[in-house]
Amino acid sequence: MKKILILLIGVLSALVLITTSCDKIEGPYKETGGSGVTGDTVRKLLFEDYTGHQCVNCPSAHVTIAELHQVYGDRMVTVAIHTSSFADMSFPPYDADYKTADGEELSLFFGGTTAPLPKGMVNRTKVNGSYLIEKAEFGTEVSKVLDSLDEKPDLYIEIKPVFSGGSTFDLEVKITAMKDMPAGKYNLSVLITESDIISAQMNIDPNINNGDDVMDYHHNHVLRGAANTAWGEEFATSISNGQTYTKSYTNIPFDAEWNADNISIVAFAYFADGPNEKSVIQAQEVKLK
Amino acid sequence: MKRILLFIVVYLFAYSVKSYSQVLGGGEVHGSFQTDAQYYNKDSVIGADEIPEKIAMNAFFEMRYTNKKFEAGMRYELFMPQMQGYDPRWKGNGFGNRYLRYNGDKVDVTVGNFYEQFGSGMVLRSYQEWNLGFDNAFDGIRVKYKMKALTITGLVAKQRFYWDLGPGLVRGIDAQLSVNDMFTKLSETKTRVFVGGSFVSRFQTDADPLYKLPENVGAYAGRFQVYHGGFNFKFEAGGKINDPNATNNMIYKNGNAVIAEIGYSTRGLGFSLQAERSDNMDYRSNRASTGFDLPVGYIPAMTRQHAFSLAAMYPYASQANNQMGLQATVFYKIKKKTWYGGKYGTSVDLNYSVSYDIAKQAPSDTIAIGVPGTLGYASNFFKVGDEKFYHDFNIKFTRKLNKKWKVSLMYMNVFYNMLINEGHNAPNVKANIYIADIWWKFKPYNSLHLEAQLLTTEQDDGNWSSGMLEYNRKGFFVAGILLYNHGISNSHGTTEAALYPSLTTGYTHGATRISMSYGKQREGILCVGGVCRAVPASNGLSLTINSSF
Repeated sequence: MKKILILLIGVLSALVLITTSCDKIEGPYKETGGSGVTGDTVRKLLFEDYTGHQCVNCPSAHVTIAELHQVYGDRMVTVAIHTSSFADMSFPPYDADYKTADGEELSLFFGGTTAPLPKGMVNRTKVNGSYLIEKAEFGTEVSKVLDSLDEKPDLYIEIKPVFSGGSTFDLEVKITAMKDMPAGKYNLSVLITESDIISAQMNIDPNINNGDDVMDYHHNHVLRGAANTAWGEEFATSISNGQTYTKSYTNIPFDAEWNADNISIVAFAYFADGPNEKSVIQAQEVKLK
Repeated sequence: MKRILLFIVVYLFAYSVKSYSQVLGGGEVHGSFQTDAQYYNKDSVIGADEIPEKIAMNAFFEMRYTNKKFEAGMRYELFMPQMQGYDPRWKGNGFGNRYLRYNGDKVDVTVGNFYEQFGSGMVLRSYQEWNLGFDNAFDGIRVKYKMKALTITGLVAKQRFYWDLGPGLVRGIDAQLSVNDMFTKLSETKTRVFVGGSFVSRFQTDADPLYKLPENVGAYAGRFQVYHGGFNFKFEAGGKINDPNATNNMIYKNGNAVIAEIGYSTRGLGFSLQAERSDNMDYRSNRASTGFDLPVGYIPAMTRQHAFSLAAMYPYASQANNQMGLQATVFYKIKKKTWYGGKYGTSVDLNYSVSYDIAKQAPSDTIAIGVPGTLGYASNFFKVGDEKFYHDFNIKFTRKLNKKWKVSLMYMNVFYNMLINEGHNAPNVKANIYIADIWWKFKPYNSLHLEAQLLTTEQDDGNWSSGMLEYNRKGFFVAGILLYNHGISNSHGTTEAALYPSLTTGYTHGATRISMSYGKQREGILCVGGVCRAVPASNGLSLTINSSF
């Protein structure tokens, strides 16, 4: 009798487990609609895309990033860091060189030089002990910042570039505190990116160009260099609500190979020490012209 | 159940207040340790790198204490830093595993870390493979209830993720029934029958802005085994509900898998035939994980795991989402004292395995195959796909010539799909491998072992040859290895010829083994059960010590 009872309890609990532990999803499987947030004084994050033109799985990661841009618009500030052997200059048509000294310095620190690519990074914050995240985590981690945190940013960043042709340009970055921040060091990084650079990209995703390599691939958000070194510079040691900080940079070299129409300036503020060291607080992006 | 809990509480309390000697006095301590260390030199010819720390070391020490029905254990692990080829996330040190267990006559309870496998492991298998740097141990609670014929296992746990835990919660239940033990009439019959079933569910929150993701993903399997004399038959089939994840490119199709095996063995003859089909069955406790990270289910590679270095050069990596394979093995010992069998007889070991993809059709007229956020594809269960992933035909003859000499000859033909096994677009490898292995026992406890191998291929790095001479005396051995890559130049690139010499020596005494080697190691792939990791080329000194007590 006891045995039968135990068996019965076992069968019943198994049935309960089975019926409650399966979520059958009915199509359409994709979420619809954006976050509906507009205006510039909103929380924006820095998304770093570790990629390379010889990385066959990278184009499908770019599709995910593009889909996230459709949902979040310019609240997601993307920088593509071409790194590791996947970005090596090689035999044509893979003879383009999108690596930069600043990009390699960042990549070495965050693990992009040795990790299998593609990898992403959101606000330079660790997920399960690792800065770099998988493509399938991109959406979730972006949503954690843009949907779950306060829509109002902790800091607001304005960028004013001045470019009138020639081999250099100037810019001014103004940071306004929207709340009190814990004591500690704060850095500002300013990066230069270029979009719509056309050259070959290896590919394996059957949904892109039938799985073949793409000869006229549009490389977007490509890091071209830093305006104030790879890790930026300190702008504050204490921040209280309403305070502003202005940094000016002059004679930043403008490479003759760059197309000024496609150049963007990315600026972001991050914790330079303390428990959140390296973690990005707010990002901003403007077109050079 | 209450009594057990009470027992554990009382026991723990007793443990903390009574003196150690009293408690330890009644129990036993067992354990083991292993240290692998390597000094790295830079070698640009073979592509070996040095590391800033110069020396890397992986080590563990595990200890298990048992006292009647109580057991406690822990394992300290150290990767300072991790050796080349191991995931950099291992770097660090600490207690990677600890548990408490009460293993009674009826109830077996474990809390903390544990390893478990349901059936063949199709829907749940946690294990550790030190040489792969793989460990997906559960951390949670497991309860087994053992009756005469039936064992029920339930568990709720997260999985180890390097020095952290994975985000998904795993709940599982399994029942294993011994039909013979259920009916007294059958208890004496020669035929033994086992049936079993499992259900596993993974919970992971959905915060994805692009996809509607299932938070609870269930997987189930049923199995059946029959043994009769030398004959055995095993069958397991399972499925998984919609589980869009990183490995299937976010498709919503259900998964399924079947593994079947039939075998017969008797004195001097063995035969087995295995078949498997696996469709969208990669099941992990984190849907974003790929590679080694956080597998819950396990689909084995149905191929032979070779010990000879060149035979193991192109191993098959199991494809849980997409594979259809067959493996046949025949072992036969030719009669001794015949002209064809020789004085001592000759054994013939023949093995063939092959793996293809499954046939895929578009899920509807408007959607292409494999589009993320759709059902992905439809598949005819019995139809084999067009793309070949792997084949391995190998035959080995072993003959003892006399009391002093023994010879093995082996031939192997392998087909290796580069894209599937290594993930890069390069021509598929077709290789022939020839091996001669000779032992000579020239005095009591003294023997020489000569191994000559040749691999020929027009793809990848081209031809390889290898020679090894080993001297053994009781527990001591010393071996010299010369491995040579002949180099190749074809449309896909050029590989320079390179020589990889190395010298290994070691000593085994009781349960302790120490070995040391110096020289160059080629870049390669190491697989255990179809789970593989890349091993980078290295040049330097390595040391291994292991022992158990």
